[in-house]
Amino acid sequence: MRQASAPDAAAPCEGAPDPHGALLLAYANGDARAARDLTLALAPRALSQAQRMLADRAEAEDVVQEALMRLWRIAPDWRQGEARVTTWLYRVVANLCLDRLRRRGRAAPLDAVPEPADDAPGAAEGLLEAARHRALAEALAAIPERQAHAVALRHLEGLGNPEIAAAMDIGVEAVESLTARGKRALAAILAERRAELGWTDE
Amino acid sequence: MSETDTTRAASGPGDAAAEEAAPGEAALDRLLADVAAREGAPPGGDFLARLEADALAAMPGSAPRPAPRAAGEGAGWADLLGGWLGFGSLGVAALTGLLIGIAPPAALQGYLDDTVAIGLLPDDVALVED
Repeated sequence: MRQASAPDAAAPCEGAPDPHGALLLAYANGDARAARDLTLALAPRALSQAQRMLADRAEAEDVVQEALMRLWRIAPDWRQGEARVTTWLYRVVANLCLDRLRRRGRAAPLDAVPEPADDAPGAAEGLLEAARHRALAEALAAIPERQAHAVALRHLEGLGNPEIAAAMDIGVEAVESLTARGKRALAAILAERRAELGWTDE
Repeated sequence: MSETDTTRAASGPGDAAAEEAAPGEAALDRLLADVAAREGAPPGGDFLARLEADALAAMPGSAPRPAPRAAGEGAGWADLLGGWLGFGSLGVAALTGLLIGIAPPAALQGYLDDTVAIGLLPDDVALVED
């Protein structure tokens, strides 16, 4: 996995100064309040991202804890103005999630994931949604990592291409290419599971 | 971009086919939109408290850490004997005893000439039968 060190991405930072960068600087100088403010500001969005990618709450919490630990560790080396903290975090969370998805994929092949049993009325639709979400996570693990990374940031997190380019340390054109190829690859994988995922009417 | 990146779609019947929208792409778009709309449950209080504790523990200069210990095994023995002060006192006492043994002061001569026997067991306990 590519490691995100302090602002090595040297992201082209556009727009206003990064408020999280200022908080991280305060944290690095021993400001306990900044630790709390950063945690409250960053954890919810990181947790949402991880849950979308992993379709698993417990694993998502593990990823967020690990990602934030990495942030605290690189805080003294953070160079404000080079990368946004949120962009850095999107990248680290995505990397950690893809690592887990790949490990999970090796442990349990795609068609070996058991469906949970639930006979409660109205549960069928929820089960189908959950199954589709898991299938998406599994498909992300099955395509090339950089494509998965780009698709996840573009289509699950809704980031713009420039921000994805900054997070992945590549050019905007490369982002477009990776995203397009990633989506085709995902569609091809999911098409094989069409019946299982209730897309028989497609 | 990685030279090794490949797509499964590209392994289809041909390049032209790979360029077309793969079957099910509309379903994929809907699925991506559906998952993107999921916020998930917000982080719980316990989880946030754990994260904050992590942050405070890792905060530069704030984590109370034990002072670095003196290197070497001697430091452990010194601690066992009450730190360097206790260790030093013990040394002085030992040296004093040695000097008294080698060259007893005149004031102690009268005591040291007499042999003193001290019973360590009660009188009615005999370890060896007579």
